Amino acid sequence: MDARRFDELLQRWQDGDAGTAEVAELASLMREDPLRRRELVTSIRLELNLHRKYAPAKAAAPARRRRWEAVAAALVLALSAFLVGRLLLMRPPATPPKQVALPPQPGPIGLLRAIDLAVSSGAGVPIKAEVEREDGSSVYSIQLALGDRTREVELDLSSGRVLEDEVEEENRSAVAAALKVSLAAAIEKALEAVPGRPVEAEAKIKEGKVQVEVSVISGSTVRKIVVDGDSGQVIRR
Amino acid sequence: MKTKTSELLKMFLEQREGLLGFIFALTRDREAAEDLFQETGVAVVEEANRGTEVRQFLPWVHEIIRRRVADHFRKKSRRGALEQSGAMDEVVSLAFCENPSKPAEVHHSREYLDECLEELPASQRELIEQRYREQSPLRKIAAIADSTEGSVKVLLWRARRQLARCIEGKMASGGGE
Repeated sequence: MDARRFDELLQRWQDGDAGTAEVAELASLMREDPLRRRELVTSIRLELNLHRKYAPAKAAAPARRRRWEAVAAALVLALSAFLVGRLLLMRPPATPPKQVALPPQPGPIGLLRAIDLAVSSGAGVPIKAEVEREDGSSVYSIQLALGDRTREVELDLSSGRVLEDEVEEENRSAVAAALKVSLAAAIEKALEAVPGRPVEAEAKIKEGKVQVEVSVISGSTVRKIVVDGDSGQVIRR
Repeated sequence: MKTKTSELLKMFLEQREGLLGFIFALTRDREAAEDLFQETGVAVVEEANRGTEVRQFLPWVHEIIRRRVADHFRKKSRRGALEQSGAMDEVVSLAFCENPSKPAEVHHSREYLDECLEELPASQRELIEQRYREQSPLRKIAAIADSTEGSVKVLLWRARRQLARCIEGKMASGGGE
């Protein structure tokens, strides 16, 4: 069999252009030769790496929203912003945020990238991310719900290299199932409200509602922003 | 012999790249592959909790994936894709079982991808960037290049082949292990 024929069939299959007979022929050629099977694996891995290089994995969103839901959410957000604006005009000026000891500083890769790296290094829905001090040095610690277990990934603060990847008995599946916006998206929402450097984010269920608490270093203070885990709306800052 | 949940999960995470590649090969859709990979992770935990015996991890998890991919195509009413996946999944599974992902290889292949992209002729590199970075449809790339979609597909294929050979060459001489 001509090697060019195999190339041609593999290309047509990868491009989604192969017909039923061509797919059967390709499968038959691959059954005959382990080198052709290896070539397919190499080719698929390369394509996946290209996708990943140019379009990094989105942090696993627990659920995809339909377009009408997105439009409705935008309308609710706009209305809420208007009402909050009205309320602020009537309220006395807010007291300045409390000064607290600063938590460990995030490293150059940032908390959002650390979440992205933890997701792309394995399975799970991110439910908690923080800069954690361990054995005298700081690391990113990302918790991901994986079925009825919790996966905890620790990453180097500056390189993002995975230092530890463990699965624990803790069951956080209820939080992951309730969360309709990803942890990363909730952090981005919080940063729109309070610009700064995120150091911690955790999804929790409080009074039956899912919310994400995000801690952001803003100037010399730590601000806690609460984002609705269902709508993505900032509910407290 | 029963395999503990944590051992199964460990194997699942270690084989992430290969499993994602296997799903991507069957679906030809990166987003669907990511979603199905997540679902497979949950399924692995559930199966392990049920006490399912696992003697050979990869063929076992491939079977879970094959069922999920078939369900995915059924839900999307993609009968043609289901038939094609059915015709290929056995031999694709064999290919990925014979060539499991190794953590060191995964790390190096990404590093070498960057180097090899730099070494590509500018026209090929631009084509790859248009397709994967800009996510431009083939029709648009063909219109810009005053060419046909078929020609663009062939050029992309050649560029990917060159990249694959370059990466393999670097792996062989540089330490993919």
